[in-house]
Amino acid sequence: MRGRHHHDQNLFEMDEHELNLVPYLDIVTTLVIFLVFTFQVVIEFRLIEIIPPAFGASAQQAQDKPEEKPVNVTLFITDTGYLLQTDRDDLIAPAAIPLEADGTYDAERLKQTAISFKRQLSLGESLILIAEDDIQYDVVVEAMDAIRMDGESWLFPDVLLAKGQVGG
Amino acid sequence: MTHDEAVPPGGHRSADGLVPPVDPVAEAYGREGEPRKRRRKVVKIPGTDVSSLNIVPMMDIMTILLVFLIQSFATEPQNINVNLGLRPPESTATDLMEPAARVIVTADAILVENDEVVRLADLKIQEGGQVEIPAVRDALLDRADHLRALERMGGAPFDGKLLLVAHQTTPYSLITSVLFTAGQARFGEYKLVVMQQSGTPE
Repeated sequence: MRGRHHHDQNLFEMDEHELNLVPYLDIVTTLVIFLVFTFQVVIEFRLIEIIPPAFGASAQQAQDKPEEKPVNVTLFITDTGYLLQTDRDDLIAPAAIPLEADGTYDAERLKQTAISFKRQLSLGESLILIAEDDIQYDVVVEAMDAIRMDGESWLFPDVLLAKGQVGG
Repeated sequence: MTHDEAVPPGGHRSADGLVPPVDPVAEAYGREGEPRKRRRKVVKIPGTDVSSLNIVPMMDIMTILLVFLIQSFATEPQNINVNLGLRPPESTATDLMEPAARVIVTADAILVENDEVVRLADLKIQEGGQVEIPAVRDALLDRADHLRALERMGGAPFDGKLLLVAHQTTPYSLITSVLFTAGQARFGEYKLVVMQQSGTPE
């Protein structure tokens, strides 16, 4: 009996000294309100590495092995579509990819063309991209996405942005 | 027995003044022999007692919200305010963001590290050639000097890395001009900042 009485007394004391959660709740509520008001839509950003002309990988390779000149692949972006070509037209003919009927660029066909180029010539991973002055940035990025990789294998991940005469 | 005598509890005085003894049966069933109405017992429904509001579930929700919000703040290495004037294009690229100097090209201005250095309306890009933008070059040179000074004081080494955040409709000529200018300001490693396309694997 004495033990039970002692046990009941302990329970009673625990109830009496219950943790006061109200100050904690006040702090949490204030913090949540502050964070919700300053919260912006979470947007994941990613990076695309590009090669500046002065540090071009293809130029470096050409200096290392002057006797084995690699085949350079160039992608032109114009207001009429894409043009993918190499500096060895005798090996593979340039491929023009016109705009689709709705006026958008045919990125999927560009990818298939890049795959075909890569298979036929066993090219490296660098490509020169030249666009007309008024081509929008998102069109350039879309083209870079299309030629970057095919499934799990790389196509042309090293893109060298350049300016020049389109188609020249 | 007089009228002044005390009436026992439960008893009452008759007309002749006599006080009958208390009948326990009559007391239980009432004077007319009917059962006395029982007192209604108030049944308390659990949880309806307002005086003892249970705040534990609310506290749980608040704590989870707080952890989520703090985590989303902590995982952004460099915060970029996307708005109508600055919406980078979407891409399937998978390289993660990293800290570096930033040049931001919005729909109407160029900023270096969030400081506006030139308005696009004041900028004239010549056709057919890469054009240096003096205001951007000067701001980037200052930034490069600052990073080098930090390096001398034991900070991270200056690696010439530059992030270019540009609005999706920025013309290609402006992109190449900014990159050309960055090259003149001793920055040699460029990365384009894009928004992750929905459905792109992490």
